[in-house]
Amino acid sequence: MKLISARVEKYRIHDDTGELDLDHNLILIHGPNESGKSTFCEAIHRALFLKSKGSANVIKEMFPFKGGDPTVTVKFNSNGKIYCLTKKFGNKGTTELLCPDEGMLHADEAEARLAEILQVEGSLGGGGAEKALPKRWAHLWVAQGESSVSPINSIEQSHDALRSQLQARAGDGISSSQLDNLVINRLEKDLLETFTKSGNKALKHSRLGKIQSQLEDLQLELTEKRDDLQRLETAVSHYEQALADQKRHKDNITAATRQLAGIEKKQEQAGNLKQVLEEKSRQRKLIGQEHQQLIELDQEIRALESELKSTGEKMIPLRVDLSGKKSEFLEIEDNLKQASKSRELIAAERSDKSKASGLLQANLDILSEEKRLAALHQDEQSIKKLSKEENTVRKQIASLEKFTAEAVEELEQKESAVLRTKARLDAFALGVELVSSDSAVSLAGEVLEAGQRKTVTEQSDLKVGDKTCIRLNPGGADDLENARQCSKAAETEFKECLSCLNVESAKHARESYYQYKALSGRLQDLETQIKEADLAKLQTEIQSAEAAIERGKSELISAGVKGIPLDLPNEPLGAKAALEDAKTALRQVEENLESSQAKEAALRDKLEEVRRQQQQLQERLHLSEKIEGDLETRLKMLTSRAGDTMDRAAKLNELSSRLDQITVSEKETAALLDGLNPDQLDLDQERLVRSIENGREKETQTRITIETSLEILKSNGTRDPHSAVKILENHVSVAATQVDSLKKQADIQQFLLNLFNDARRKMVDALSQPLTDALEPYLQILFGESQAKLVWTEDGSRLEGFSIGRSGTVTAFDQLSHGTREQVALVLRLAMAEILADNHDACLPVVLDDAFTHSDDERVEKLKTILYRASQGKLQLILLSCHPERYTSLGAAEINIHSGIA
Amino acid sequence: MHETTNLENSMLRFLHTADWQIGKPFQFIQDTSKREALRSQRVETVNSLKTIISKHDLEFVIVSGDLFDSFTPDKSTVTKLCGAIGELGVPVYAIPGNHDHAGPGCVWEQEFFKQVQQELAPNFHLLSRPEPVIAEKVILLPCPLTRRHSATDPTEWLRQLPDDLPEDRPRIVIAHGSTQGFSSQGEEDTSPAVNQIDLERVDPAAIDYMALGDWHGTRQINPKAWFSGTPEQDRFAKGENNNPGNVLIVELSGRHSQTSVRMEKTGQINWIDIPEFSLTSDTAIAAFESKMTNLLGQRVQKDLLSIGLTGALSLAAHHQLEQVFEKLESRLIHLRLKRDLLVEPSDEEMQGLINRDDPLIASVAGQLQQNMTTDPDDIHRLALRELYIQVMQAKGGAA
Repeated sequence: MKLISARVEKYRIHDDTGELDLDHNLILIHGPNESGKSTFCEAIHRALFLKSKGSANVIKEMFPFKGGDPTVTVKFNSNGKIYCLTKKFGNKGTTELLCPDEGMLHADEAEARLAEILQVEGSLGGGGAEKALPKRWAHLWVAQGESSVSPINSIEQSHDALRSQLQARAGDGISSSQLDNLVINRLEKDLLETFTKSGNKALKHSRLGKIQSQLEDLQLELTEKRDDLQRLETAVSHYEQALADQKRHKDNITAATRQLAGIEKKQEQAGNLKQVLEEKSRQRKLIGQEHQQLIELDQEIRALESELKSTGEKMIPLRVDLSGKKSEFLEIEDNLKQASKSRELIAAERSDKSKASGLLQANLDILSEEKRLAALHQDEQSIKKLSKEENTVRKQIASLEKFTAEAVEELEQKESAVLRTKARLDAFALGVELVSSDSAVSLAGEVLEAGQRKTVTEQSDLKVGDKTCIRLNPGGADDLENARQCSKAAETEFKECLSCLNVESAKHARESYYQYKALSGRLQDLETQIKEADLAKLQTEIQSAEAAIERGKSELISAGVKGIPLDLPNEPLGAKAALEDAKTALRQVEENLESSQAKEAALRDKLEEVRRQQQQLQERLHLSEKIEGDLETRLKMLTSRAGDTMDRAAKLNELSSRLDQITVSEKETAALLDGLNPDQLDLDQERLVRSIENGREKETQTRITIETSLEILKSNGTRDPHSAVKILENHVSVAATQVDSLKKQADIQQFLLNLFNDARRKMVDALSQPLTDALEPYLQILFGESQAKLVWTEDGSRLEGFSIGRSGTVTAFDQLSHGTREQVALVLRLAMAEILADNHDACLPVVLDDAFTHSDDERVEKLKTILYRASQGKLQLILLSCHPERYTSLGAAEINIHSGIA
Repeated sequence: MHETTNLENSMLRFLHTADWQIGKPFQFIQDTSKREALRSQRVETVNSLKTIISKHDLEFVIVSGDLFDSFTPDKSTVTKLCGAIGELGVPVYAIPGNHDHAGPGCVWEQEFFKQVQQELAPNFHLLSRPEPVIAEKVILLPCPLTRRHSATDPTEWLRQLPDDLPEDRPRIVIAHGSTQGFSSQGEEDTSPAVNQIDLERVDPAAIDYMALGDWHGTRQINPKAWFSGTPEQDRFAKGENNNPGNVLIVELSGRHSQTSVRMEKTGQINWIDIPEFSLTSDTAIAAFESKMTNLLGQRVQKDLLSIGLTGALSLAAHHQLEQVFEKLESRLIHLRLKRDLLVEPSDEEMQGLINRDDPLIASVAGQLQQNMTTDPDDIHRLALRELYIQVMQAKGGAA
């Protein structure tokens, strides 16, 4: 189908386009914006697909502002025949189709024929037309702004036609049948209803899921029942074991009791023998003891006799030594008495010498103290003199006016200020001396005589005669006044200061200050000297010296009273010499006394030693005598008990004989007792008693086990556990078989479905091939080496996506850039149109309304190549653009369109 | 000393039965109502014995063990059995068998049993000790089992019978266990060496009849020893000479007299065992159906069938066979199938899958067929069968 020409009248902006020639394969309709290019194409589209009669909005909006019925006339070629379609839209719309064979067709007949030619399901009309209209040939009619939208989205109404063409090209059997799909759907449904989406787990409510759940419940119940049964079987086992154990324990107790009776009988025999043996042993011990005692007595008597003899012999030399020591003692005692007497005489002499020496020492001390006392008195006088001076100075200080150094300094500063200001004032003074004058001269009203000098310190009038008056201003009026005020102020301050200090002049104050300072220094010196002299201490020492002299004199007096001659030197040197002589004599006597005392002590020590030796000898002799007496007493006592030597020998023989007899008898009894092995009997008895006790304990335990087992085995009879287990085992087995069977069935179905999917994939690939072949040259222009991949719905019935493989990367259409999408959408559209064109006399128009807005110049160049190539094949391409300059080299027929063109 | 009476010429008639195994769970039957029906039938069969007792004027009943299937039956089972025994109206002497042995915790010691037995079955006498029981007309020599598996011969005590037993009345041994070549153990347990009865060591002169239990088929072992078998079959019988579902009517005319034993059919349930049925072609299914019709007649839920199927079937035939089984399962109490069938598409079926207008189905079928020849994994064959079923069902749904 190819458009030949079109005329649009009273259609919105267009009053009448006139019949525009469209009989070209590549047409560029251009014109400025709002010139009606799109409206022109829209009018052709509506003429082809919309019923002329109607009042729907889609028709109302066609009417032009100026009025009139929208009319579109389209000539087209289909199957080599030229048709002329004229539609006048509106409530009374008309349709006319002039067909080469049938002639002019009108209204519905014309609409039906038109739909047949265009291969659509009738013309659109009524309320739904507005919505359905854009879908008509949407893959061929690209509206503004839709150039980058995937054409797969717009193929909806022609999809079946496209698929059928693809199938026709790919060959027969390339499309799944209804039964194919039905079988696949059944398999998918079965699997979907059985398994979760991941396919790993059965759905809870599926048959498999339910049986699996049932199987789990049954297995749990079976485990419980088996446990119950196991509990019963264990109880039976325990019961039977306990019965066997009980019998064994009873047998053991009986055997042990019998053995115990035998053991106890032997134990009784052994007890009797033990008693006999103990009696014999006791008798043997008594005889043995008596025999031993007699032997010991005999031995003791013999030892005593020997010891008594030895003691007598030892006392003889002791007695001789004691007699010698007594003589020696008496001799030493006489010597000691003589030495004591000599020592007493020397001691008396020493006493006299000592006293004389003491008196001489006291005399010397008195003389020394007297000398010290005189010096102390002298110091005392000096101190008193200093104190007197101190009082004088104090009085002088008290009589002085007291000024501080700061006050004196301030006063001096103020006085200095007075002098300074005065000096400044004096510097301003003007000296006036009348040297001579023939007129009366007066100064400040005071007559000034010749030769008289005056000093003017303030403004004064100097009159000479009556007519002349000269005003004198010393220093200039202002400075003089200022200096005068300063001088006055300084003077006032000075006077105030004098008044404040109550002093006549600064000089007086300064002199008073320096005098005070000198007296204060002196007073401080005096105080220091007096303090250092420490009069109190001096007086104490004086008292002490006086007391010592007094004591010495009293001592001397006392010595005189006691008869010691008081011929003492009264001067220190003589006194000291006399004292030294006396001390030398005293030392001699003391040495003599020490010698005498040493001799006496030596004699006393020797006497003591002899006395000790004598005492020791005496004690040893007494001890020996006592031992001798004790031995004699003990000997007498033993002899009286054991008899004499003959008696003792006879008794020893008798006891020895009795001891031998009883020992033999005892051994015989012990042998009998050993034969019974009483220790083993005790052990055996203990073992058997314990064995019986253990047996009884175990018997009790087994009885409890029996009772417990019987209690467990006492069935309430509500259910038969054996039967329940058997039934459950079978149920579990059946359920497990069912689960296995269903899983196997599902595996088979999945396997089958996989085969179907594989087959379908192959089929879809084959189905895609014609389209990808058609695309290949276009993609080659766009991207060079590249591949198109069409994505079909799972059942292969519908196209649902498109992707491009470039440089090893496959990119889905939606993921491409805007510009690339525009290009790819165009080539896919062209390829699909080429396939579909086979249904339309090998030609179809493709309208591209401003379709390359996102393409840059480089892309547009490629697109031109593509468009041109497509136009040389099966397609009639109509481009709309307000930029015809972009398509200068396209080689397209051009139609310049503007509103209301004719 | 026992009192001697003139019993020399009196005729003694009694019923010998065993292995009632009341309460047997039949756990392999999934359908609860069918299972319960089968369980109840065993009690009903015991009930039916009163007709035989009355008809033959029997004096007492001897049950040679295994009255219960378990030694711990539930209350309901105990009550049902006691009710059935009470209805028999004659003394019933029984020993514990290996299933209901008199071990610790057994039913016989439970208070509940004692109470129900006193109330419903005062005619019941459990002989749980190996000692002579001297009744009015007979001496019973019970050989009870006190555990499920006993290594000792339960008849061992008979070798030293008391010398003072009366000689004026017949002696009946009641025992439960296997004899040489006849044992229920092989069918249930793995240890054949337990509960063995050595008949060679039982002095034939010391006894008049030996009422044996354990072997579920009716069988005479020696002139005086009989297995009565179970009155109601409870398993698929093994061996050709197995003849379950009977009781024995025994006549003794006195001590050392001739013994007359007659078998009476009591079983109501058929346990049909067809070890092998070959399905070599699709037409064999019709033969199979015909055989089943002949076997079952008009009976509904009175039969259990164990069948081993061999051969090879096409997918369609197998599908048809499945429908036959579905029907059979509703007729039977239980259908035990042992399949050794090769199910694979016939050439026609294969062509039907491959040469069709459904390209995916054809492609997958072709691939599976190819894989079956190269890969031994069964998954391809099973997947092909599944494909066939799916296609059939989808077509059915579409239609």
